[in-house]
Amino acid sequence: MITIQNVKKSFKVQKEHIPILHIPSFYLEKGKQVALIGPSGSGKSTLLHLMSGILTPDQGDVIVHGVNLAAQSEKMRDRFRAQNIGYVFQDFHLINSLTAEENIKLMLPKMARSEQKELVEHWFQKVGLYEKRNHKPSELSRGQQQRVAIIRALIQSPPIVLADEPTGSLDFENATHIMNLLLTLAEEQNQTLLCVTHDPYQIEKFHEIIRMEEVNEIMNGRKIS
Amino acid sequence: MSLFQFVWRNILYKKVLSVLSIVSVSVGVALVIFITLAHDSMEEGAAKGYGPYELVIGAEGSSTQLALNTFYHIGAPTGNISYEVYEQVKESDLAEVVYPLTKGDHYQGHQIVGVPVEYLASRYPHVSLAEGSLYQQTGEVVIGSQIAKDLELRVGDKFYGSHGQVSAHSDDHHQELLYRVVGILPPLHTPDDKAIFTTVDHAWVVHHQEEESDREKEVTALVVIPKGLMELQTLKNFANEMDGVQGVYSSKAMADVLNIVDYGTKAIQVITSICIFIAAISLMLSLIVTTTDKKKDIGLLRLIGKPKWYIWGSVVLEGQILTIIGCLFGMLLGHLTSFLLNDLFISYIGIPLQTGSIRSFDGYILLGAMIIGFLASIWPALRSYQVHPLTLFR
Repeated sequence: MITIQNVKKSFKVQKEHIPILHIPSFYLEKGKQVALIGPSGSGKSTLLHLMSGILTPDQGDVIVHGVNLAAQSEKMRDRFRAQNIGYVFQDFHLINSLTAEENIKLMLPKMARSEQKELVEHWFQKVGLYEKRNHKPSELSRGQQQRVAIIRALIQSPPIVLADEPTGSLDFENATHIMNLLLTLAEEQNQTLLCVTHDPYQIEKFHEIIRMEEVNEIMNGRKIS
Repeated sequence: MSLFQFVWRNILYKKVLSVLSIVSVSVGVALVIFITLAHDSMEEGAAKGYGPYELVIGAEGSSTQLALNTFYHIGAPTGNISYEVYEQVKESDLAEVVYPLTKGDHYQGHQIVGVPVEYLASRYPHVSLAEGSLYQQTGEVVIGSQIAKDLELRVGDKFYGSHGQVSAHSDDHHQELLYRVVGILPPLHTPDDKAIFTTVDHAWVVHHQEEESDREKEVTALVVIPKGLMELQTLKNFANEMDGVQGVYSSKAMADVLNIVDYGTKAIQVITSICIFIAAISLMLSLIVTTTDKKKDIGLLRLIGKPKWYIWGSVVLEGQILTIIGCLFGMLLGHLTSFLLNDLFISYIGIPLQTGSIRSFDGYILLGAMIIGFLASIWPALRSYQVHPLTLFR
């Protein structure tokens, strides 16, 4: 499903190229729910960005759902991401000028209004936010905002869901609820889920745990904060 | 969700900034509307003002003053000329039509114009009175529509005139002649809307000249339709050769007036250009603030796969929506201001503003505003176009 071969990525900081990632090989099976753990600066987010096509590697191949993103133009990667990747963030990133429902509709491709309405309402019912769907993000709790963000990531049934610390800013109760919801919904749709998390209570719910130290060769001998 | 809905929600979300942009565009457009309306009205008014009378003959002095007083009923006449001049022009066989005008008195600031009743039919051949009948006897008057409205005069009302031409509250009433309104003109959209027409001899009665011989009687001006171009030139020369008399081409005098108006218009155009520039800058700043504030939103849009043109288009569309709303409000404001200042225009310069009608030029203003709005949107749009999805994570 996701294959990474000999990928290197560095960032330019004050005219100096700092290597961040060197992954000789990485494979993620379709439908798997994987937790990605590692200390800050270990390249977890960079790996997610490479898989979503936000970044391209300096070297190597990132093959997602049969497409080598490293060889695609920015426009093609944008299109690929829209069709194949769902993203969930720590800070939700809902658009404040739109209602919860409009935040979801913004994601959807053109379809009949009745069909769209039915789909959106179905998802709001699914996450228990039907009554709040016309509220602005500022009128929702953090847990509710993350549930809206989960709908946004999953509503188009993308084959891959990438989550970057989705429970990082939530209390324990909300974090458990959100993680269970995300795992259940991804399972229902047979989606591949790669989730960056630091929460030891949530990690055990995943099919597999990948440690960055095991995949990123740059981390060998380098101090990670 | 359509691009338009997305942009519209954003406009509503940042209400204060949107309103400020709309107001700045509105003020610029309203100024353009008002200035062009005033300019067009003055040009048309100047062209319509002297009607078919290509030559005006009066006392020596400022040719502009003579034309303005004769046709626009503004200011004082240059003086009086002998009634004999009228008779000589009439007998010269050079004029198709010549009418003597007597002036000198007013009622509530509106000039009383003594002129043969045929003048009205000659000046406005297809116009019928709104009320009453034409004057026939000394003391009977036909009033312009604006006066009827302003002074609430009706057929049958009576008044005394006052000496002079400009003092609206003069107590120096002429008790010699009591005027009686016998007719009211319809709106003519010319300076005659604010004039009071009566017989030529009213001035002689008021000034005790009615018993005098024609040689001793005076008129204020003659308006002439010459038989042809040659006759026009000959009549002008004929007038100029007489002592204390001048002949003035009406069109030339009006062109001089318009030239003066043009200087004023140009000065206002500079101010308007500055207003438009400020409106464009204000719109641009508003869009820059939006794109800066919403950098993360733009990053999100890019991350969820919205193409770059969508981001670019959202900023340009926002600029266009704000411009169009501002422009429509500005047009409304410009026309409303013209409507409200119409009476002031009529009372000061005798020319009504062309209010209440949308001109084809208004379409050009909208188009021009949209182009300026587009230009003002380009830079902010390019800034947002360059926002990378990674911005979301910074």
